[in-house]
Amino acid sequence: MSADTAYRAVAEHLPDAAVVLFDLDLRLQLATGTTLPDPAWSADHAVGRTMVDLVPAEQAAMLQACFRAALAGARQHLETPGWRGPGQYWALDVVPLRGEDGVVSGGMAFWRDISKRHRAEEALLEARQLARSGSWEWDLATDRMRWSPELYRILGVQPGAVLTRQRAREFIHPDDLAMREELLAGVRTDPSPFQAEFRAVRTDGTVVWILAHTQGVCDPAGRVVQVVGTNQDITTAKQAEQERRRLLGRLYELLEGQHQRLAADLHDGHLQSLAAIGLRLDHAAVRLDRGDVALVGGMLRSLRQQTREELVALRRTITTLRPLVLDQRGLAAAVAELATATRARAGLDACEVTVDLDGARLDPEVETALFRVAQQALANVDQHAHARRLKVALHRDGPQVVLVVEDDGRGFDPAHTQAVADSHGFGLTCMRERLHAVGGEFRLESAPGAGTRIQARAAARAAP
Amino acid sequence: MRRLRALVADDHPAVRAALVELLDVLGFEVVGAAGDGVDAVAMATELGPDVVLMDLSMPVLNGLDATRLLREDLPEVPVVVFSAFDSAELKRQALAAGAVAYLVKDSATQRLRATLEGAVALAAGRAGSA
Repeated sequence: MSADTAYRAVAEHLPDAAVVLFDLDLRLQLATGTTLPDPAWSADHAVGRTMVDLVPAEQAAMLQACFRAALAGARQHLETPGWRGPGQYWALDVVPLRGEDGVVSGGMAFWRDISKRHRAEEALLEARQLARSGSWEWDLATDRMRWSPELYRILGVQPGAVLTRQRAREFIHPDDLAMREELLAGVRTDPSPFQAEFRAVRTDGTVVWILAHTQGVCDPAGRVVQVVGTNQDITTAKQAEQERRRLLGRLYELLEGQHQRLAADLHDGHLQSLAAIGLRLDHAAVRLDRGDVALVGGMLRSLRQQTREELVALRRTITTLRPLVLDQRGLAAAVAELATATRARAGLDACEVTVDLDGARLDPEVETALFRVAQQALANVDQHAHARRLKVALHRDGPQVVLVVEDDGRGFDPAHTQAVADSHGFGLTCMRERLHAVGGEFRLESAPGAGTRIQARAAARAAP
Repeated sequence: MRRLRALVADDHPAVRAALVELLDVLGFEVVGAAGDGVDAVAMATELGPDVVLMDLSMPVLNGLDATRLLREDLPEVPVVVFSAFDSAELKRQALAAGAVAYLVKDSATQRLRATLEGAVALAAGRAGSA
């Protein structure tokens, strides 16, 4: 069997492979295989030609150089894009062929189509970029580290920079260095995989959170010779988690404040009123035992009035918690009722209420958020504004619903009094957060002596 | 028999007024009604009542602290705490502060009268044996 026949047999039975033989003039002597670089390379067409004749100039120059190097005795390996279309990728091994006298008489190029593998690698790289995840290897014998391109990017390092473990540890945040070093020292004796989070400092000084999966690689004798791992940038997730914790803390704080206010209302108001009613009933009972019927009659009538007042006060407490009118008749009715009550409580000269939502009910979340903003804004008018006139408007504006509460009171400087305002119970932050929670916007306009105007906007989502 | 002289301390006006009326009809002479702990101590010092009926939750000076002050300044005047809270812990604190009894505000009339009279009798017994 001739060498040609043997090559042909090998090439034609290997999937995704092709064999090309060439002479000292780089002319093809044989081109065969299931996956020739170019289907036009039939034996008749290709034999006797050079790469310059067969492939585009750029690739031809590279291949010719590779062939020449092989003819000079050096085995070549390269991976290169194909020329027949996007996504095509070739692995090429070129070796010199020697005659029986040992002299190089030509060369052989062994082609493999690695397009699929290359696509998978690119997908992996893309996935890692999307996941902001890079991989690394640390060779314990040489102390050299290899990083994937994404890891260089995560830490803001010029790709390809030579890295030692010492250099790599300089990226670890000083506060997390001891913990990270201890874990990495442990992997030298126990190669089991583990995961840990730590902070790293990028070359531009910004701090990133890293989730690292790490494990040791052992030689046949069981000694750890290499440590490998992936480092994922989880800064965004960490920030989101911190923000979530902050908001949760704020929510609990607000709930606790609400509970405190409710407890105070119940204790200082209702409980004491009921205790007073009880004491007066005791008093009436003693009088009744003594036959002071006329006096007891007067006391009971007075107690009836006191009970009525207490019922009104209790209703107010319940309404503060969750007004029935909001659930039963919707936002427009609830805001109108609030405005009317504020006018009476604050003794305003005028209160202009323009409320129109066409009778449609909104998403309960939006209704509640806007109602709470109205409630807080009107409580501010009542308790802080010293206003004479009040305007409350609630209407649709395209896909949004807009609430405006405007007074002619003493106003304040929003730029300088946010903290003071909140500590005094203006609840500006609360109003803003309530609206943000439903994707809405809050605007405040106020100036000392020039009244206050709040505008709350939220999507007019219909009730489901 | 001499009417027992009582001082009432409660920050809630309706409770204070009702208590004054009830004690009066129960036969006590209400010598004063204070709205906070400081007033309670001052009025007790000035008026020398037989017994003080003291609310706990009051502004300026709460009932517990006012009771402590009275125990120091006027040890012969018994303090009966009269609270809206039915709490074993508050009762323990009130007694530790020097109150002779702890009554919840919805106590029956007879219990209120008996406790006040008992407190005065106890104080008189102590004074007599001292």
